[in-house]
Amino acid sequence: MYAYTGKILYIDLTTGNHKTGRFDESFAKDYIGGTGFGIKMLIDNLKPGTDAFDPENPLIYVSGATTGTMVPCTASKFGVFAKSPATGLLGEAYSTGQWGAELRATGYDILVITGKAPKPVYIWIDDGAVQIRKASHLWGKTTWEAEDVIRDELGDQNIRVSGIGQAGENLNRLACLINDRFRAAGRTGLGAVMGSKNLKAVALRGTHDVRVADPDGLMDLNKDLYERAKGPLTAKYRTMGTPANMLIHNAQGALPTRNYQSASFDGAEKVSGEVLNEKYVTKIQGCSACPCRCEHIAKAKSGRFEGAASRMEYEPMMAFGPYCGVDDMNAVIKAIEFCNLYGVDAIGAGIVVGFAMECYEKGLITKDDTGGLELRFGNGEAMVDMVRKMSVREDIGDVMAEGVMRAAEKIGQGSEHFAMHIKGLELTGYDLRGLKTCALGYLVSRRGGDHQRHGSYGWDLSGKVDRYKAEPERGALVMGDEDFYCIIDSIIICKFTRAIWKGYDEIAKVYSLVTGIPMTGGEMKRAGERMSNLARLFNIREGMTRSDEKLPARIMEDPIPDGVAKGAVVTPEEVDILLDGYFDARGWTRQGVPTRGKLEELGLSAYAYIAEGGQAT
Amino acid sequence: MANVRVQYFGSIRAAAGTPEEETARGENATVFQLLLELADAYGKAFRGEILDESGERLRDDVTLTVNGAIINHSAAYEMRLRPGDLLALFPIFPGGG
Ligand code: SF4
Repeated sequence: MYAYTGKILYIDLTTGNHKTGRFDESFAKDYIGGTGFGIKMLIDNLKPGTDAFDPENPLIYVSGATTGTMVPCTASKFGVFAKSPATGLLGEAYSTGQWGAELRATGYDILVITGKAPKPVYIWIDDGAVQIRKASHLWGKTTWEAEDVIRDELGDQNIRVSGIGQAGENLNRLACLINDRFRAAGRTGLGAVMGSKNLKAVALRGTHDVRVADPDGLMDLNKDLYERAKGPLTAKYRTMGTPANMLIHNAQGALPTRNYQSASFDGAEKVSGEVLNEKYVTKIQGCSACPCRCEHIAKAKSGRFEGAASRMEYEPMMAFGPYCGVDDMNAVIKAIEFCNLYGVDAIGAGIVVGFAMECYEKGLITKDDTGGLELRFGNGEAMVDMVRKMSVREDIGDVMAEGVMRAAEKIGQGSEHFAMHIKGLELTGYDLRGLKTCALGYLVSRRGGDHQRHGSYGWDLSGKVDRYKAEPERGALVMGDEDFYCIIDSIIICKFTRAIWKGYDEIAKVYSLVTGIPMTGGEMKRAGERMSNLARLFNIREGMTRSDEKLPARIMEDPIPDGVAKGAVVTPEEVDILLDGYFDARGWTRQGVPTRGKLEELGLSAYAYIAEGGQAT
Repeated sequence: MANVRVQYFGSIRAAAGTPEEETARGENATVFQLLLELADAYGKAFRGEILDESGERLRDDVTLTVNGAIINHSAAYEMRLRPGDLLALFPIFPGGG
C-alpha cells in the first residue's frame, strides 16, 4: 500500500500515554479514507450510549486518500469525527487549508484522542514524536492568540494548529475547530468535544513525503485535472464564489430570512456577493496545492467593526445577514470573525441568533435575559455581541450555547415551533419549503439539518425535477447523492471542484494511482453505499429512529409568505412519501433500518446486531 | 420574440458584464438558441459559464427560470419565449465542508 503509512496514533489524555496502531490494505480498500475511516473508527472505538462529553468519546482526525499529494483541490483536506454534542449522533466535519497535508507529513494517517487531561493541555506532534504540553496559559485565549503562542513557544511559524477558542472550552454545543485562521471543521459541535477533554489544540510539523504508487501515471492525470480546475467549471468560485448565492437564493425564494419568516430579504443586495467583491474583498487566496484559489478574504470598512477580517462564504453570510435581518456587511464580517476567534460554527451560530431574535421580538426573552441587548432582527451590533455571549455563556448566551433545539426546550412557550433544526443540528441556507428533494436530503442527513452530505438541492434548482413536488422517486436521487458525497469526502475532494471529476471511474483511477490498491468505479460506488449504511447503523445504535427524521414545525405549517415560492410548505404527508421512497431505495425497512441482506451484501454483517436490536458479540 | 428581458446572476452576471437587459435577439428562436446568441455576443467566459465542453448543451449546474419558474433544461430546447417574458440565468454552487 502506498500513500497511506497505515499508522494510527492513539493518545489517551487521562494517562498521558500514546501508542501506534495500524490499519491494513483491506481496511483502506473497504473504507477508502476520510469519511469511511471516520465512521468506521468511530463505531469501533465508541462504547454505545457514551455521552458526547464523556472522556471516552474519541475525537478522531482522519486524512483523505490523496491528502498531502499533488492531486489538485484535495491535498489539504482532513475530517474530524466524534459523537456529536449537538445531535447525540454521528459528529462529522471537514476542513481544509494546510493542516491536513501536515498531518500526513507527520507520518500518521489517523489520530484518535480519548480521555481527559487533568489540566488544560495541547498535543504537539513533531514527525513521529508526540508530546502533551501544558496549556493553562492558552485557556481563555482565542484560536488565533493560541496559535500565535504555540508557534512562538515551539519556535516555528510554520507549525499548523487545529484548536478551539472559548466556545469549545465552555462546551458550547456549536463549538468548532479552527485551523489556519480562517478554516473550520465547523459543524456538529466537535470543538466542545475537544474542550471536554481539556484539550486546546493539536499542533503539527512533519517532514515525511507521501509516496504514491504510480507517480508518472498520476502526473499525467494531474495535468489534466489542473487544467480543468483552472477552467470554466470552477470559474464561478474564483470570481465571486458562493456569496453569489445571496441574490440567487433571494430571486428563487429560497433564502432563509428572519428565522425562516420569509424566503427573500429586502436587504439582500447590501450583503450580496456582488457588493462584497466590489467593496470589501481585500485578498483572494487558496488552499495547499489548489489552482482554483477561491478564498475571498474581506475586511470591514467602517464603523464599530472596522478592520474585522474574515473568509467569506454564502452560508455564514446568509446566517448573519438575512437570517438575522441584518443588511450591514461590516457587522456580518465581524460576526464571522468572532466565530473564527471564539471557535464556533458560523452557520449554526447565526441560526441560533436569529432564533433568539424571534424569541425577543415575541417577548419570550427580555432585556433582562439579554444583558440589555435590544435583540431585534436587523440589529447588527446586538447580533455580534450575541456571538460573544454564546461563546462565553454570558446571560441568555448560556442558553443559546446549547443550540436551538435545547434552547427551545428550555424557553418553551411555543418557541419549539420556530427552532430551526433537524436532529439537533441547525439548518443551513436553503429554504426547504420550496425545494423538496433537498428537504429529503436534510431529513435523512446523518449529521442532522445540513446540505453537505448530499447536495440534493441540485435536482430542484436545475429543474430536473419539480421543486415543489414530493414523490417517492426522490429517494433514489438522494441516495445516489449521499453515496457519491461519501466518496468525495473520503478522497477528500473539495466540493467546490466536484464538477471537474468524471464520476466514480476517474476517482477510482486516482485512488489506485495513489495507493496502488486496485479499485474500480463500481467498487468505489459500493464503498460509498457501505459508508452510508455504517453511518446509519451508528446513529441507530445511539438511539435514532424514524421519528427523529422530522422537519421543524415552521417548515411544515407556515407557508412561504411571499416571492416566487409563495405558499410552499412541506406537509407531514409529503415527509412520509419522501422517507418511504428513500428507505425503499436503500433497501432498508420502512423504519429506516438496514436489513441483514443489505448488510451482508456490503460486507457489514458484523454490525447486523445493531439492526436487529441486539448487542455486539 | 421581441423585448424579452434577460437577468444574469453571480458569475454569469460577471461574465455578461450586466445584471439585466432587454433583447430582441433570436426572434422566433427557442430559449436555447437565444442562449447561443448571447454566448456569441458575450464571448468565451460567458459561454463557459452556461454551456458544457461541447458548447452544444447547457451545463448541469445552471438554473434557468422563465417568469420566476425553474424550467427543465430539456424544455429550453423547445420553449419559445413571448414578448415581456423574463428569462433568468443562475449558477448552482455545490458547497464546502
Ligand atoms: S477550491 Fe477553494 S476551498 Fe477548495 S481547495 Fe481550492 S482554494 Fe480551497
